[in-house]
Amino acid sequence: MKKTGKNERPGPGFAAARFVFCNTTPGERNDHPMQTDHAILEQVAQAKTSLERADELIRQYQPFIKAQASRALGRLCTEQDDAFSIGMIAFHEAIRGYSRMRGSFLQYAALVIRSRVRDEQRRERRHAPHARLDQPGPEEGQTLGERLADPENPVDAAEGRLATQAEIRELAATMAEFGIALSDVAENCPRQQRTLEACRQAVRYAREHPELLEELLRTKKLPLARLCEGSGAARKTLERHRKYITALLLIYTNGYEIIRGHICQMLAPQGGERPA
Amino acid sequence: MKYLVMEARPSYAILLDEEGRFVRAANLHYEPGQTVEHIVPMRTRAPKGKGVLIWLPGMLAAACLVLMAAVLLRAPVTPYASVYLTINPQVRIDVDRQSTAQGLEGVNPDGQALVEGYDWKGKHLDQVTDELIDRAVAMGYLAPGGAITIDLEAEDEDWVLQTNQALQAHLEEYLQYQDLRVTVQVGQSVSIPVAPAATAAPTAAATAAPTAATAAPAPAPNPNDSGYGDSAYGDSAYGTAPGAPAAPAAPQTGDSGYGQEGDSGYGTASTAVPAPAPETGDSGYGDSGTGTAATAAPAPPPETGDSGYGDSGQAAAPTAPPAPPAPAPAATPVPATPAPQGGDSGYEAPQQGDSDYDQPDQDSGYDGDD
Repeated sequence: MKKTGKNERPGPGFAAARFVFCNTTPGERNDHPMQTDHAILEQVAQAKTSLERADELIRQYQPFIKAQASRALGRLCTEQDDAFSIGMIAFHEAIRGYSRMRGSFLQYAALVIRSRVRDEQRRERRHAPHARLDQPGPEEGQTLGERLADPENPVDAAEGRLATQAEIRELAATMAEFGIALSDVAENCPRQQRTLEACRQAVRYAREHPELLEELLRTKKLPLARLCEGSGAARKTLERHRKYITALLLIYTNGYEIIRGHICQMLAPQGGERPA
Repeated sequence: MKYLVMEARPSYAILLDEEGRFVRAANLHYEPGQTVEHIVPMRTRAPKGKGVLIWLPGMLAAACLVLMAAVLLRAPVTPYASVYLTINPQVRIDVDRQSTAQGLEGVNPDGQALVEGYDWKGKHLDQVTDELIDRAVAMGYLAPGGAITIDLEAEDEDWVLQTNQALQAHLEEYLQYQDLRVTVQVGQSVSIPVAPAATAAPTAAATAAPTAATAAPAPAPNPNDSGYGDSAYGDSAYGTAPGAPAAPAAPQTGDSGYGQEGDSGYGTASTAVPAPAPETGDSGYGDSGTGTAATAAPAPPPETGDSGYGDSGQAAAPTAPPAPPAPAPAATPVPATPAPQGGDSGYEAPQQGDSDYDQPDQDSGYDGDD
């Protein structure tokens, strides 16, 4: 990791950003000469719709992200710090939310990164006294939570995770046969409660009519018409969230018990009772 | 709430919550299969100001309401000309001599999907194309780098020439304003690269103005509703009683978008209603935004030349008639100044609108903590 210390000065955000930006590793400098904001705009525009481009852009601007996170933290931020990860997701947010009306992209991104990191810091402080269960536990390959979950058999907890991993891999592979990736599903997931509820109706209906699930597996397509009729959800809604619904229906086919167990709350009726 | 880590990528992770939501969040050194409680979700932020997509659901909702009334009150008129808008979906917009939409039809299946539920009645061609473009973006038919082709079909050559120019200029400006990098081809000759020319705005507005102005004095049916008539940006979701725009609809004098009849989203709905009659010339950005609709009303008669950028946004208030209080055909001064704010009204407040799409500003609801 190249030190950016020399050029980093506490100063107006924008100026600092530019300085850091210059200071890429020698190899990088040839490939990515300091870009004017204008050149970045093109990349940002592409990154808005392409995840690979977004990842690439983020990789390119890692030093920048680290610098902004460091500023927000008040100390040097390394790649191990959570703040760095937060900075990266903030950069994603900035890519999404940027429009030229906002002025310089880097300035905007810097703001988003710093504000996000600070927000999370504050939140962290509120919960400071409690140790996080996701932290690494006393033994390697295991988190604190897993250890605590079953102190007698720490191995089981870790094994549980491995089993889950296997299920997830399989789900991803099956989804690939449908031309769907997990990132598509995340993108396609409904944000509004009522839309989510409509999708749930469709999933509930499919669960109650396993022949629909069979058809899904067989034809590799979503039986939208029948789902729509049967669940009463609006056709447009179901169409719009096709990928998400497909993913969920797949989860309710055979072989994904763990994942299904996790989303137990999804189909719970209003009263909160578990479905049989 | 517990989250199951589905995927852990270098710059973010995909998590599944207990209610079946898939969430993108910071990858705090997660491993797939892990269950976590504390997350830092990715928030959706709207591109500043011009959050068109935020408006769409509101607009569509209101459009449906307005559609009913509008359908009942509008008398059918033989199309004077047809405008074909092609991206991938293709639609045909039938217009009358003043370029007000008389009919809209999807030519291919995608086109039908694009126009389904869309209210075009009484809107000016500029507005319809803008809104269809917005829809296309929202529905994924159009993305940066895409192309839009416009074909004009009419017996009146003058109309074709005039509209060719005006529409071209208008779209050029609109696309730049939306920060949408697409190429536009109107007629078969000119293609418009969308360049960030600051100079484009005033000229485009200026060209838009005269056409609007010429249209303005025209008879009642919708004189000059230019561009941003009343739709999305205004009226809809926020409260105009469905009746309000309908009532004046009969005279429906070109009242567009912002303001008159209280339509612009921000209240003053009913109070404005009586206004419309005189408002013949008022187009686009009448005085939208918060309130003032009613007060503005009386002014309009002189405003006949007023095009597009009346005084939109919320600021306008009582001095409604566009900046130059001289209500006189503000045509020239108007576009110049308010032009930039012109579109403002539509986009400002309603960031409460929510949509299912990532882009708009809706807080995804995940604060990260349980």
